[in-house]
Amino acid sequence: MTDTWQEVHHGVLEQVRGYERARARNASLHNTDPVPPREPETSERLGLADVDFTGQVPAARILERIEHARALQLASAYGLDLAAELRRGGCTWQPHSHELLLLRPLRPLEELRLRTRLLLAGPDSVWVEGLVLEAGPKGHVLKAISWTRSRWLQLASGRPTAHPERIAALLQQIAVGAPAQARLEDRAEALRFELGRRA
Amino acid sequence: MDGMFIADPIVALVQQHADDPRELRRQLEALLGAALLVPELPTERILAAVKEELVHLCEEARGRVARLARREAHRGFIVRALAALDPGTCVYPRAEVEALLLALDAAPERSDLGELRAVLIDAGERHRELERRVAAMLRPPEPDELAGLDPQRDSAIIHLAVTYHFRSERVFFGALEEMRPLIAPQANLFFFSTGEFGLRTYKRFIDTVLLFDNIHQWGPESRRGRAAVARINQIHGRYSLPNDAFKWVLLNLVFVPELWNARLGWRPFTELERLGWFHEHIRVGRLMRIQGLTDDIDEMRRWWHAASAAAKPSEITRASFEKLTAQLMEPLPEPLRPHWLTALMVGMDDDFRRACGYPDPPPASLQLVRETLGAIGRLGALLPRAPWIRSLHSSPVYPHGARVDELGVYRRGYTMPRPAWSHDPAATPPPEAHGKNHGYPEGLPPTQHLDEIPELPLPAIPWSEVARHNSPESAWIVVRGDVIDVSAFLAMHPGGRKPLLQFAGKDATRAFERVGHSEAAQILMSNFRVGRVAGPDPAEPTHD
Repeated sequence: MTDTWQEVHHGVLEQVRGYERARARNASLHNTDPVPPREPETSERLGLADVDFTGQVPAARILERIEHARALQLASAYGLDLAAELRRGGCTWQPHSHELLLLRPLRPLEELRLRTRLLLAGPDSVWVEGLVLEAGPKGHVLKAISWTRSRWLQLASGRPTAHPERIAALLQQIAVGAPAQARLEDRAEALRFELGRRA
Repeated sequence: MDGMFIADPIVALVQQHADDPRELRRQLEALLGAALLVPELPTERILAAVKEELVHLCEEARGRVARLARREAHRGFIVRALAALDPGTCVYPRAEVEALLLALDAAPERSDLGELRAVLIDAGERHRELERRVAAMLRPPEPDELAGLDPQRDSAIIHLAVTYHFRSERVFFGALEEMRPLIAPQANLFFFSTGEFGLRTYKRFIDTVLLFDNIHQWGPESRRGRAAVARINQIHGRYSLPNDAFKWVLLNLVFVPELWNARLGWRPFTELERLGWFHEHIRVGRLMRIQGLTDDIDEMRRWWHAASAAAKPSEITRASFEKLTAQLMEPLPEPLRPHWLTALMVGMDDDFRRACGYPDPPPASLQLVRETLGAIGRLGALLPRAPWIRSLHSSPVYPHGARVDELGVYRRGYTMPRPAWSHDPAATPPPEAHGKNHGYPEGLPPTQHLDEIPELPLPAIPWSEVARHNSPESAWIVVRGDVIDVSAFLAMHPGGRKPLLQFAGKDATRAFERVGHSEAAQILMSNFRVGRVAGPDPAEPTHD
């Protein structure tokens, strides 16, 4: 080990270039540890049955679609089967508050992308955000947004109860945190900006 | 050193944009941002983090109040508390909670409501602590504003101030704090065995910084701080690691800044800053369950110096340092790399430099780094105070800021061995064998003594199978009946790879004991067990 200062300096810089070349050849060296997806997404096509007699998709129907998509996504992305949970422990999430903002009209037979994310999780509560996005080339266009707050209820007694440990651990892992905006309108505005920028 | 860190680019910018002051200012701000004097931190990100903490605080207090509902007699108060703590508002309801506490004090049956009172007082104290920390992060205190603080009790605020006032030094020398433990051969061996230090160096480095920042900045009682402590203990708890190794690594974080500050700091630490920094780290060390930490800074410094002085020059230490440095520098723009490297090498203390076998830095380089950092530090002190919340900053790994649960890894190191169940046809692996730690125990605290190493259900491996693992690609040795897979650390073995390869596929018990491995080495070795050898060693002479 008798290298001069300059030789050491030069040697390290040469190693940096070596790593740079190696990573250019193998991008997987950049991979970070995989974590569960926080924004699972599924596609759905609106049916004629989703439309009311005026040709509109009622708000209640949109909420139902988002709830249904969330249940499917919990099962596919996190292996959390709500029906099985209900059978096993008699508990499920019972929504107690919905907020929905329709930003663009929905058309019958339209293909949509439904994206959901858990904003916050408490000992017995969850706050989920649902996004309805246009499918196809304008996939970043936000058509509706919802906030649903639910409690984990023992259905037989109607009492809120703490999440089982494994569900609580999952929720802690996937919660994205409270949004900076307190109102859904402001949130929609921020998301439209964010989605447009990502696109 | 080829040129100045900051003077050259500034001169070039001024020449380039002399006719356009607005653009010049924009470019200068971008340059200062790169030196981390003015980091980019969107206000929205700060707001979201603070709200998340407030909602968590309310949610948690609400959960505790809800659990009281079964025991406490006076439901009226409980309903009021639950309503006041509704987390949907994202604001801590201080006025409502204080009014409720007054009402509780005035209630004739107040002795029955002690637990509710305790929950509300605790929530209020946690909120005040959060408020104090957020205020210090948004407007970091100047040294004269720290006067009167207690270095032990107020260590968090002092730590926040130090990280702000020496932010440029910490950019350059933070890496030294993490890399200096490499001068201990065993630390070196284990850091590289898990694969994280070698392949995902930058992520590993940033993750460690961010995990500690989340605790230091938001506090161990906060949502972020608690999650960070849990993540650190979860990641470390997958292995049996010697307590003194933890202590050594932690004390490097405490005392390395003293060394660079004395030689290169733009101003010396005050005594209060030095003590506050020390106590803050000791507090975190206790959360990491490290034993043997005391509040006596001189005692801890002596212990650390003694351990540092024992380091010998080693090719392994040098190779490790260069490998890590090269990978850490890779995301930097190429023109910045030589300057960053010069600063880093000049910042190395004598023990570290000796362990790497490096010559002393040329006086001109030392002088230049000192003057440049001095200029940046003085410039930083002149700028208006800016929010300094490094746990929320962007980085090349986390361009939108990191969430605590993204930090670190969620499974055993992928280069670490796992039990060789496939070689035991008679056994059924336990369900844990398919888990993220492959059946090794989890949640382990730092290990002080050999007898704390947990027993494992390990597969029985015949000698014929052990004998097949006799190459550098797969080297197994047997020590006291345990089959040890040493392939992951051949290159890092303090005694070299030759003795290990000599016993690959054989019983190495006698040689292992003859060398007199330390207790720490034996604790580390237990992480590489892959099975128990079955039957007598065919190489041993029989005594029929």
